Amino acid sequence: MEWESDRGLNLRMAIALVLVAVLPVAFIYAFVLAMNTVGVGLLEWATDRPWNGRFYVKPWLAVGAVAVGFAAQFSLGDRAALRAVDARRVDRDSHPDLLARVDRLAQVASVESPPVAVSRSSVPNAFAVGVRPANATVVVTEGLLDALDDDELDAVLAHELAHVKNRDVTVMSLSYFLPSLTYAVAIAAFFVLKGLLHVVGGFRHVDDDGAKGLVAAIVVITVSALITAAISVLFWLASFLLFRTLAQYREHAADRGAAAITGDPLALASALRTVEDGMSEMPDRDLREVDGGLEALYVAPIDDYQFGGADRDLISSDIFPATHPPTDERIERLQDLAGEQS
Amino acid sequence: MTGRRRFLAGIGAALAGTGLAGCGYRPGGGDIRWREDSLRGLYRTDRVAVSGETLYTVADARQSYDAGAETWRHGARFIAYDTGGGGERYRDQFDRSARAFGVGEGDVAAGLGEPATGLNDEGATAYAVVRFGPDGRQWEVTVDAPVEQLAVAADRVYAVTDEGTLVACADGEVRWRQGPYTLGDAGPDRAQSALVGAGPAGVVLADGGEPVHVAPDGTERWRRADVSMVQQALGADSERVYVADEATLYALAAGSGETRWQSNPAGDRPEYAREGGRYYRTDGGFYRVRDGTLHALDDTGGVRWTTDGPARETRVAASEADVFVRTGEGLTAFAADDGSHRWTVEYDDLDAGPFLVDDGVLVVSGRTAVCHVP
Repeated sequence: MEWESDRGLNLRMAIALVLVAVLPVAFIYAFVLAMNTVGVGLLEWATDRPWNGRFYVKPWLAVGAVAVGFAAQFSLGDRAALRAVDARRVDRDSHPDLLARVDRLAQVASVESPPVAVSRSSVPNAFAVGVRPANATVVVTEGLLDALDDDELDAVLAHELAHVKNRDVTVMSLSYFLPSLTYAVAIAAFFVLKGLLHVVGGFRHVDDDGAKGLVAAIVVITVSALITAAISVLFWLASFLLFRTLAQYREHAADRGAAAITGDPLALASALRTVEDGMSEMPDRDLREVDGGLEALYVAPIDDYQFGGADRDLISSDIFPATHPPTDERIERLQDLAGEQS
Repeated sequence: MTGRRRFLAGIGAALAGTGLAGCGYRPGGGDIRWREDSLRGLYRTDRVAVSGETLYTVADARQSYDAGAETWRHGARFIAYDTGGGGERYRDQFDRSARAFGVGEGDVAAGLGEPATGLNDEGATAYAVVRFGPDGRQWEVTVDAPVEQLAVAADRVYAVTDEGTLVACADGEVRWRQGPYTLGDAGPDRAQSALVGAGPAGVVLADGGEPVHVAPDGTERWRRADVSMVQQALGADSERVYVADEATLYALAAGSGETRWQSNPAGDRPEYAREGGRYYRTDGGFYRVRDGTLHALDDTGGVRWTTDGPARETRVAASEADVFVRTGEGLTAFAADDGSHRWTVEYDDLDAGPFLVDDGVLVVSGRTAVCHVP
C-alpha cells in the first residue's frame, strides 16, 4: 500500500491542537475579565459596598481545569459517543464477516485491528472514535451494513481506518471539548434567565426592602446570565468554526487514505452516494437519533444539524463550514484519483 | 471501584482539594474585611479608641431607675471588641460616668468622674482611674478629683485632675503626685488633642501652654518657657518628647528639653494658626492636617509631601505604606511614600477613626464599625 503522509493535515492538526488548548483557557480568562470589569461594578451597586479587589484564576488552575476536561474527554468521550448512537461492540460470533473485513483492511493499513461497534440505527453511516489508534473503535450502523455492497463496505471501513491512522480522531475528540463546554454554559445561562422570569412572575407582593433586594437580585442575575451567554456564544463560534474547518480537511485526507488501502476509489465514491441517498430518504426523527453531536465524525454528513434542530437554517453554512465537504466534491475527487490510478 | 468511577472520584477530589485554592476574589484597598452593625447597642457612644488588637468604646448607659431619687442612674459602659473580626471581647459596666479616656501601649485607661445620682448619699468619693486591657479590667484606683486628661505608657497611667494634679498610677496604686499644673483649653475635641503624653521616658504635659517633662519617678526634669502655646502633647519615646502648637511641631530631648528639631510645614505663625492645625504621631511618622491639607513629615520634621483632601475633623492613621484620613467623600487612603491617592470609600458620616488595626483600617459610622482592607 502506498500511504502518503499528509503534511497539510498534520499542519492543520498541529494548529488546531494549539488553538484547542488555548481557547478553553482564554474562555476562562474572558470570564475573569468580565468579572473584573462589569462584575465588580455590579456587585458594588447591588451590595452597596466597595469591591476594589480583583477576581482571579491562577494559571495553573486554568490550565489544570482544561487538562481535566481533556482528560475527561479522553476517558469518557468514546463511551459517550457509543452511547449517543446506541452502539455496542460486536464479536466474531455475531458479526464474523464484518470483523474479518476490518482485520484485513487494518493489516493493509498497518494499524492494529480496532474493535468494531454496531449501532442499531437504520440511518446508513459510520465513524471512528478513540484517543489513540490502539484503542480506537470503528462504528457502523445497521443501516450501513444493509445498504452497502461488499466493496462499498470495505471502502467505508477503510475510510474510518484512515481516520485512525491519521490520528485525526484524537484531534477531533479534543476539538469538540470547547464547543461542548460553551454550549452547556450558554444553555445553563438561558435556563437561569428562564427560571428567573418564572420566579419573578410568581411574586404577588413584596415590601419596600424586599423589592429593593429583589430588583438587585434580578439585575445581577440577568446581567450575569447575559454576559455569560455572550462570552459562551462568542467562544462557541470560534471553537465551532475551528472544529468544522478541521473536520472538512480530514475527510478529504481519509478519502485518499481509503483509496490507498482498498485501491478502489470508486467504491468509496459509490458508498458515499449510497449513504447520502439513504439519509435523504430517512425521516428527520431517525436522523436526530443518529446525530448525538457526532456529525463531524461520520463518513458522510447527516441531514440535520446538531445545534440547529428545526432552526438549522438560522446557522449559515457560509459562516459555519459544514462538517463534511460536499459529497459531490468528494466523489469528484475520488473519480479523479481513480483516473490517476488507471 | 471501576476505572471510570475512580477517574471521576479523582477529578472530584482534585477540584475540591486544590481547585478552590487557585481562584477567588483577592480583596483590594477599601474592601470591607468585616462589619459589625450593633456596635453601640442602645446607647450613645461617647468615645472610641483602638489600642493593640482591641476596639474600646465608652457609652453613657442608663442602668436603672432609682425610685427613691426619682431619677435614672447613669453610668459608663465599656465594651471591647476584637479588631480582627468585630466580635465583642468583654463589657464592663460602671455606676459612674466616664470623663476622660487615654490610649497607649496596647491598653486604655478611663477616668471615672461624676457619681451616679444617689451614690453620694454616704459622702463617698467616686472618682477613679481604671485601666483596661484586651481581656478586661486590670485595676482601678481612687483619685481625689475628677480626671481631665489621661495618658497610658507601659505599666503607668498618668492622670491630670481638674485641680491640675498629675497623678501617676500603677498596679492599682497611686505612685506619686505632682503639680498643680494649669492645663489649657484642649480645643473642641479633647480626645484628639491630648495635653498629656507619655512614654518610656516619662510624661510631658502642657502647663499653661509650656511643655513640662516629668520623669517616671515623679521628678520634674525640665520646662520650656520659650515654647508657650503648646496645644498637643504627642507623647515620648526613650530619647525625645513631642509637643506641638497649632503651627509647629517640636521634638525635644527627653533628658534636657533641648530642641532636636522643629517643623512648621505651612510656615504658620502660632498666633494666627490656632484654628484647625493638628499634628499626628503615627506608626508611619508625623503628619499634620490643616485647612484640608495633609503634610507628611520625615524623621527630622522635613516635609516629604503635601496633598489636599482631608476633612478638618479627621484623624490620621498611618503605617509605613498607607495614610488614612477622613475626607468629604468618606474614608480615603494615600500612599505613604508620595501622597498619591489610592482609594476612597464613600461615607455620609464618620463618627470615629480611622484607626490602624492589624489587618486593616477601622472606622465607626453610626452604630457600625467597619474594617477596610488597607
